[in-house]
Amino acid sequence: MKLPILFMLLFGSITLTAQSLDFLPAPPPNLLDRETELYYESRLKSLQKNLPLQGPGKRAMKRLYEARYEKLFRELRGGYMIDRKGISDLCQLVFERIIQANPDLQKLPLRLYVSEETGPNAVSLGEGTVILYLGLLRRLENQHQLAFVISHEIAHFVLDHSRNTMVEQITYAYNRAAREAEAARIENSSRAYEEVVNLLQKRLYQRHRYSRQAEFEADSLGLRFVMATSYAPEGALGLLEILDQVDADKFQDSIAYRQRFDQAAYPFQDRWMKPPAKSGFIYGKNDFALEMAEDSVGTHPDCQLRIQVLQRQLAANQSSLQLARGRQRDALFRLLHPQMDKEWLTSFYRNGQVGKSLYYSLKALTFYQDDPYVHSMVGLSLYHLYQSKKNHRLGKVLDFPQPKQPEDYQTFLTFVRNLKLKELLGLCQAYMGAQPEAWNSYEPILFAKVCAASLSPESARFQELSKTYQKTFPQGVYLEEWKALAQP
Amino acid sequence: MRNFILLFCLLCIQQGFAQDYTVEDVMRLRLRNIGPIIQENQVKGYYAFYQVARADRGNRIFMLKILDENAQEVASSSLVKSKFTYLTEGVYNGKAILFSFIDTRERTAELVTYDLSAQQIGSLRYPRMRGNVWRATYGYSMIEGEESSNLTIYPAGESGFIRQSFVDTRKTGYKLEFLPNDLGESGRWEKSSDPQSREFEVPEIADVHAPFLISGIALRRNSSSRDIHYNLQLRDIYSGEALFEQPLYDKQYKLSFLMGKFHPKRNEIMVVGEYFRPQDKVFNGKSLGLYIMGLDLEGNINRKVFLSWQEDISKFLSVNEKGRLDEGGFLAFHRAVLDRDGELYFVAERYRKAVSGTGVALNILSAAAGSESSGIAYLKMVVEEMLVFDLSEDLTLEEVKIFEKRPNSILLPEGWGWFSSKALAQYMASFGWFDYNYTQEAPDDKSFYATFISMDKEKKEGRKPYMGVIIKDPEGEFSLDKVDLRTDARRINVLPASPGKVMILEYYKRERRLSMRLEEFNY
Repeated sequence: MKLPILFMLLFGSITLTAQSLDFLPAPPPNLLDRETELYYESRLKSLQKNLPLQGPGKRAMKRLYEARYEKLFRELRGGYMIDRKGISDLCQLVFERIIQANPDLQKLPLRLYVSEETGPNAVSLGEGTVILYLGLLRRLENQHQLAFVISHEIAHFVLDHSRNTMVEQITYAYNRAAREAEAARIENSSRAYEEVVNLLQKRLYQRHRYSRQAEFEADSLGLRFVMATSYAPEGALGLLEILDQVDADKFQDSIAYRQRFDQAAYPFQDRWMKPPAKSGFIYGKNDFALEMAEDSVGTHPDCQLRIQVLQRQLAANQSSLQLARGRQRDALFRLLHPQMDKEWLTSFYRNGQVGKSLYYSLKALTFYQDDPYVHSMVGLSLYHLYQSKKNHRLGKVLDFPQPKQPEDYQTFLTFVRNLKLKELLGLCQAYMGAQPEAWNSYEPILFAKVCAASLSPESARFQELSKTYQKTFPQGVYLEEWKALAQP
Repeated sequence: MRNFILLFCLLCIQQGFAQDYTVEDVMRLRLRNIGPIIQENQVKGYYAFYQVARADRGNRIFMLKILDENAQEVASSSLVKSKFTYLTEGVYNGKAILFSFIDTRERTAELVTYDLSAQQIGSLRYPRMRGNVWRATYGYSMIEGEESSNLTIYPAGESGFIRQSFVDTRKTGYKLEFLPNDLGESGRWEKSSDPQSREFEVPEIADVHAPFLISGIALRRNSSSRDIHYNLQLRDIYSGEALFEQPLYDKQYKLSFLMGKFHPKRNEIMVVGEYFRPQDKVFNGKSLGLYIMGLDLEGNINRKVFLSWQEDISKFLSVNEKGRLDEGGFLAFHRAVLDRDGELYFVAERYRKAVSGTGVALNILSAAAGSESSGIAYLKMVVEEMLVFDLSEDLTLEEVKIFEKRPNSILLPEGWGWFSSKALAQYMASFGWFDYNYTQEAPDDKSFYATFISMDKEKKEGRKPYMGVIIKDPEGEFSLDKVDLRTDARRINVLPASPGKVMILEYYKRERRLSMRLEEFNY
């Protein structure tokens, strides 16, 4: 597809989705059509034909491939992938441009999907499928960075990293003689425990050393693929800088709980912020996992080190490096970020991580001030937290505060954990009640108001809002959920 | 707890992605080896003790995980021990954690202490036990009693622990000892029962409130005697000296011992139990009612109240003079709770003996098949509603709250039908066969949570197991909450947690995963 036409298409959709009252959560798509199914079935057969192992190892490898495809099929069918104009189109555009610019890649069975996974990551399944996580996309700033992410994952496939790891692990697992010799040595040793720990460490170090070496290789080859395109290779440096700080959340401002939840109908109580008593235990000082040097167990090398290696490669190929280009925010991403962030919030909610959905929605409100969709997410999350608490299932959807978590998150968890059941109800109803009536024409807000009002099912307010929803959105995206509320 | 001895398998524990604490790749784990770490009836954390590898022919490498009260991992530590090792108790005193192990092959007990970062600070191995001492120790370690209470080890301030154990005397006696945090000799003391005593003596530590250690000593001629009498003992935990030891005695009645607690507001030892006619036996006799006694620190009785079935309790319940309820059955008293203002609560459960249709049918079928017996008694025990007796500070019975639940039948082993209802209740309590589970007292000393496991039957949904929680809030209001225990998991179990919460363990066999999550009670 020609670039200007794509841009027009993208801009058309992005302009619409960027309007705060136009974002609607997309129903989970089923991307497993017959053509895709046949494609993957033939890929599986061809992978299983030329296996480098024999006997039980070969059978194990076959089973592993089958399990991998089963999982992929489940995810394609079950709505874990995203198929939304804007985000998906942009990723496919960049993906295609990389393939077009690298003739060797055109012969390979490559496919790309965007997953609603919330972590900042991307994966290569090892047989040509690259999956980009929404959690990473929303942290990117430009197409150059995106081009490097995709190229890096393609490079893992080209270099056969996944298959090599699989072969190495299966070979070890099925090498009975070697394992028995190790077991006998350990059994006869007077220092059996130390021997077991040493063996585990050795295996872990070997695997991670290989994994870290593979990352350097994928960086290097991925950069070559990018350099063949018109994307700036400095995007690679920009991306690694972002990954280096990925633990710091994009929404950095603290949540103003009092300001957010002090409603005339339901005044804020200081008790809600009271921290829990400290346990007295000293955490992680005598931990088996920590006995192993922390760096040695990381699968990815340090980002700063990767930047240095890539800089050397870039310097050898280019006369001048414009590092700033790597971090420039381009117009497309600026327009797509609200959509990505809202999809990301929705993903927590849809996958049952309601606590995180509320936490990040409140954080998002410090960034997207007065965005009605984010307000609706706050209301819906409060509603589901109430239901979970009522049914003694809160532990399934909300963490307990613990010292390892960021302080901001601990404060949030303390706040929610301090709310009694009736307070959660009161807060949910007061919060949604405070949202402007004018926003009732926006489906997510109206539906969140219906949910909040449904906590008092006999109330006239619930009947009134429910009827309005039915009348205004007869084909709404929340229609099935509304039916469950209206006809319990 | 029922269903406690489940065998699960486990390879390693890790923090999962989900909101709960997840144990992955579960291969082999005795669920009994996951338990609460307790300090003064409060859950302060949990331990998980499981085998990870074979060290040599007789020994195994175990992993000991310490979790905080929110089930977040504090630390893990490895131990090499005999494959016959069981972890029986975990106790916390604010400065150290003590774990008690027994080796069922060597018949030895071992204590290990850790500091708050799980560094081992002491260990102590006791010599091989023999005869009655071993049988009593083993029996105690397998007790299915209340898991929110200490069994044989108690925190003694922040400086050490009190341990009770059995010793060989003329009959079997007991030993109380104070163990410092490092399990060393400094500050340690031991006090044993009279070696010439003609009676079997079992202590029941009722309360450790520094510097006082309050115990009820059950005495009987031999271990199977049903005629039990009690001594009340008060010791100084730091010196080990007995401040007094005297029989629990009344001129008119025989007294049992249900609870002893220090009442700081009145500087008084409160003792409660049931009272009987002098000729009746405490173990299987029918009581005349409940007594409450307040003693000063020298053992002098300050006040004594008798609440008779006939005069006092019948105002609130239809009951005859021997405690038999009009609807049938008796009351088993599980726990007494004394709040900071001196108000007293008894948690009880109604039970009755009934003919078992299943027992009769099985015995007829066995007889028809030429077998002598089916192994099942003709009679069964039925446990019914829960009750809470509410007494004011001046020990007047003010109210009896009744909390309905579905009757639950317990088939009895053959021959048990001959026991009296009262004796059966004692056995059932020690085997954990009542629906009653445990009681948590909140640190405010004003509220408590008494729990039981029961089943609702609903038309559409079939059997619906739940954990019932009788909640007494700080304002004195009572309510009942139900924690739904239906699950997709293969097994579900509950452990006590910090007040107002419960720890739910779910085992997913297919995924070989054990999840632990905390849920709060609603009121």
